[in-house]
Amino acid sequence: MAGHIQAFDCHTVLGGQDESVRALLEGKIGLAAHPVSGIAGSDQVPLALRAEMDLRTPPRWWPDLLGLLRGIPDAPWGDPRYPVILSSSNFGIDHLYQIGQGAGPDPETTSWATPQGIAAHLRKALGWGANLQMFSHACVSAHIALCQAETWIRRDLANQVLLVSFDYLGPFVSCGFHSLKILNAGFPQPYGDQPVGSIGLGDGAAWCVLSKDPSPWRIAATSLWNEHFHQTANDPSGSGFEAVIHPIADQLAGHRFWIKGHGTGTLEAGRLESTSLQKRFPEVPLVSWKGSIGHTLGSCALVELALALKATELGRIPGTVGSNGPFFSDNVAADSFESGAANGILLLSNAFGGAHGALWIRYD
Amino acid sequence: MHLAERTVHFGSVMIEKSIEFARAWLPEAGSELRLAECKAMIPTRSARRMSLLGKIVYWLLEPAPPIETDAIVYATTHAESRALEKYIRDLPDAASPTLFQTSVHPGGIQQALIARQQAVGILLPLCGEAHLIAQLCQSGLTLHAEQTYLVLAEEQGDVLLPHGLASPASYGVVLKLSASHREESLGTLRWDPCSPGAGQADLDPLAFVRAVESRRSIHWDSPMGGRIELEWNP
Repeated sequence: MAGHIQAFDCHTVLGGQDESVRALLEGKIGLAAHPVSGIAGSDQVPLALRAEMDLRTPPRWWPDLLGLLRGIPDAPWGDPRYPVILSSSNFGIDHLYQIGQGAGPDPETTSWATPQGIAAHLRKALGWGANLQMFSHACVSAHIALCQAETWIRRDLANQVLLVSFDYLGPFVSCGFHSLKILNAGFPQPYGDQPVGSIGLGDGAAWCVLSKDPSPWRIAATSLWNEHFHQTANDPSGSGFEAVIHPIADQLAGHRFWIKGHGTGTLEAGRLESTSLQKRFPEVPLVSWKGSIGHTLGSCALVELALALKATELGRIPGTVGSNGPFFSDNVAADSFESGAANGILLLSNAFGGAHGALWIRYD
Repeated sequence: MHLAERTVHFGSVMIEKSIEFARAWLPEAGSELRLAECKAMIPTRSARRMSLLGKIVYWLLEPAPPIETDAIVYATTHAESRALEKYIRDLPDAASPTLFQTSVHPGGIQQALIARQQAVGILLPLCGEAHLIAQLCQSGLTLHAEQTYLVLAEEQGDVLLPHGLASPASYGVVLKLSASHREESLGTLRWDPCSPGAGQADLDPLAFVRAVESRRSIHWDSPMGGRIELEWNP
């Protein structure tokens, strides 16, 4: 029994999922130069914002997120057999930042400053029950949630699982990545063999419903790996990129598929990812869309899953938008391509600590 | 026998695993001694970059550290409070890369495993507050792994404490679960999704830590239905 994807939606800086895929197919870059802290005069960095990065209560992203989540199909979400899984890398962290800057203490501000506070707001707004759990594993957060949901469906512990993932940018995150020097003035060119690596960050949110009922898309296999080599660097041997594929490689054999990689625009991770995939799957095209929509952090696995499924519906897969080459390896698809006879997608995510997630989606 | 062999479907068989190892870090007296033990056991180069939370997790795992094939479920409500407090103080003009890295969830368990250079396949980092212990236990019980670690930890906060945004105490616990039944096991963690509720809707994390430390059997309700039982062998 596999987890079948019944419904899904997402939004990015480019719009809803349909608009986002069509814009990616046109090669549109959603990233634009913005002040890193949201304050005029600070360094300009590439951000893909759905609204200006100002600080307010409720947060600027609250109506935007609710608007997306209003489209979730009706079900007794949060009841025992209908769990909700929230995932994010930072939840309401910018209210924590505001408190650090001297705001509050008042209950309204603090209620937006923690994952549990955000969950309470969502439960109240959407009428969800208490069966809600949350994962936060930096940029593989949504990937972890998908693995957990698939386990529950496969083991018949739930009738349906609702996954919701979101990450909206604020000074906490943007200044943090800026301090690491990877969020800089340059625009990201995923898998590009460039002299300097750059990432861009983006607002993103997505949801999907999994159940055991047949649907065109199913999670056929999942795999996780955590290197624990270094907090922010991968094992230079590339072992982690291989280790996450190894357990599911046999299931991929014989299928026609394409790969939606992690590809943020950093040099070392981009080289390790693309070359390890080239070695194992030399004929399989590899794409990343973070050069346009930015890295949507903890939500990226679910946001990009929705975009990937929508692209298969349209029959054309966006290429590695924003990246012109030369590339680290020949498997990188710069341009869009027909999905053709493909019947699967391999989706990959990475995070701090050398965390890796792989998701093997089959579709008819 | 593998878990998958004896737990087939929801509603037919309860899910249980044996407890092979348990250790608790309580907030009472003795924390200074444990921190001294941390200083002795953690390589200095690693320790310099570790938070108190990371050291607590390292100490908890020290006698029975995980190996590559083990799975870990990690839960914390307030996570890296001290790093967060310092990091947000310096924003937006002087963001510290070290504090940013440290503050990102799930820093505590990652620091402990990076210090050991210990890769693992599955790491599920839970956050939140309501039903956190139930979620920790259920996630560990339902994972397809021969050995699973449940790790819960909090570090005492400072400036965020008056806002209710940090833990008032440092504590933690680890349970090492085995899908195989062994005679010498310490006890059993069990979830029966079809059993009537235990009448206790949620379990305070520190109460869970104390129950493990004192080897006291407890049971409480699961938000996914039924009840969860922690039982110790005589």
